Amino acid sequence: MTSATLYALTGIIIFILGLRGLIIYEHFLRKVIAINVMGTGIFMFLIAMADRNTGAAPDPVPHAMVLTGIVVAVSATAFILALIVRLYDATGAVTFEDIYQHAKDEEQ
Amino acid sequence: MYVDYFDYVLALILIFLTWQMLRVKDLLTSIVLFIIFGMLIALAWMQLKAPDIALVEAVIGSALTGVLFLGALGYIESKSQVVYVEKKNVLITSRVYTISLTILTAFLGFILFLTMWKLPEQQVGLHHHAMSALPESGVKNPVTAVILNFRGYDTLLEIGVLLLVVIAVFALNATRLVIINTSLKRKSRILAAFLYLLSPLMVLVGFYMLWAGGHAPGGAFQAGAMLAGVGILMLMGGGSLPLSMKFRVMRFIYAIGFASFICVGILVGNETRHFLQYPPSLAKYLIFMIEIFATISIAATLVTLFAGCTGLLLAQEDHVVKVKGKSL
Amino acid sequence: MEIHQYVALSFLFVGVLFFIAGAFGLLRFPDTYSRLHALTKADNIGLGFIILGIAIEMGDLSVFIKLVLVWVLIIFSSATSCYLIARAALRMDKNEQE
Repeated sequence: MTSATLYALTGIIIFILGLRGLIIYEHFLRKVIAINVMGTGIFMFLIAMADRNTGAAPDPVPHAMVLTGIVVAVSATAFILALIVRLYDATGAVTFEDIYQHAKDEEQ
Repeated sequence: MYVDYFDYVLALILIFLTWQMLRVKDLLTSIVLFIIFGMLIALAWMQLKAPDIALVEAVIGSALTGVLFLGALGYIESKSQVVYVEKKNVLITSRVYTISLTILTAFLGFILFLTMWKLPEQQVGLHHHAMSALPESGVKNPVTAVILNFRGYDTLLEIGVLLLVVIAVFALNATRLVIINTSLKRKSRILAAFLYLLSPLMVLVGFYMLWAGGHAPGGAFQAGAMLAGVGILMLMGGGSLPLSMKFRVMRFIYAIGFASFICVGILVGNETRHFLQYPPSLAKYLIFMIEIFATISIAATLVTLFAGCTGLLLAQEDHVVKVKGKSL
Repeated sequence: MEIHQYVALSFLFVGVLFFIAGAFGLLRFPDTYSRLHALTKADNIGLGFIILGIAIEMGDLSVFIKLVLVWVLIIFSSATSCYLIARAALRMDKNEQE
């Protein structure tokens, strides 16, 4: 097993843990953390695959893609967090249950 | 082709940390574990021979994202009168649901693992193409060459995404606000003194990272994040920044990264018949010019995103200042 | 291994011991303030020893100066964040007392 294979396996496990965390947990902030973890797992897999070159230096194209990916992930996280903060300011909701409750209260 | 013991230990720590970070009941602990996770991932990038990504991950992926999370959590906790009941039941409560979901995701992981196992262990990627075209690209660092020259479209759209997110964050919040002033609630003399001493150094290091991107790990994004750090510290220690679309200067600053990239693409497209195809003699200067404008844009965008995530852009009485009557 | 590599290794080891001591203090002390005390002091000195070890291993003067600059900056930011955490903890304690 090369070190690239080990890190690819770690990337897969981190992605799976993030996916499970995204579905299971209720609080929005925890879901966003899980989304970030999923992204990091995928990046690790991609870079581990880039390290398989014949020769010494790794392939720079996946490196560039992951760099772009990290910045876009941060932008998306910032937007989701701004949405969460705005939603909390408007309704006081931090889970989907709270939103349903708030909608039911609004109806009455 | 043997695996270093360090890699095994690091991989185990990362998996354990991921599991714990999602599992702890307290959100503050979760976010702190996320920051630590990001730093250890930066270490993993170094082991995978990717120093540029290690730099970006440590600065933006771990520290900046952690700060955004902490800001959001701080806003939610400071406004809530009731301690959130989730501290008792973190999960969706049905046991059968949780266990079946765990089994399903583990199965998905197993399929992904089998797919990876079938891939060849040694392979030739685009490494040769990138390295052989490197002298014509104008920079010596292959990752910078790929980002800003060979795959310039991706970076163009990435800067476009940043601009879009800033517009969206402003659209969510009160757009009458003009200057964000945090001195009333958060003024801190020690932080102000820290900034007074160190912000020249931070700006210098930021611009050095921009310059060094041509021949060493570095580039526009790391430099932009460093400069954004100065802005964020200023907001956290009680300062005032004009984060609003009402000022023409701020609109210019937000848009200049994307706009300069498009302009350069069109201008060189006139000469070489392809959008964003730099003539090899001018490539170095064009790349540097694009990077300078992108750095300024990225720094302003990240500071504004921080303000948006921390609840500073919402119309509240204790930290915003409205400029009355003046048309800007 | 030569003699200077043994010296560097021992400095690195001492630095790691200080970090472990700081982590122990973080886990075992009862209060936020005592934990801050353990962390900032032990971590900065541990980092100093690690930097000394790296500098002896590298042997280059410019690298040594850069590393010492890194150490000084980390001390600065660690002291500032320690103050800010202590101030926030004090405010939370005052709010709880009311």
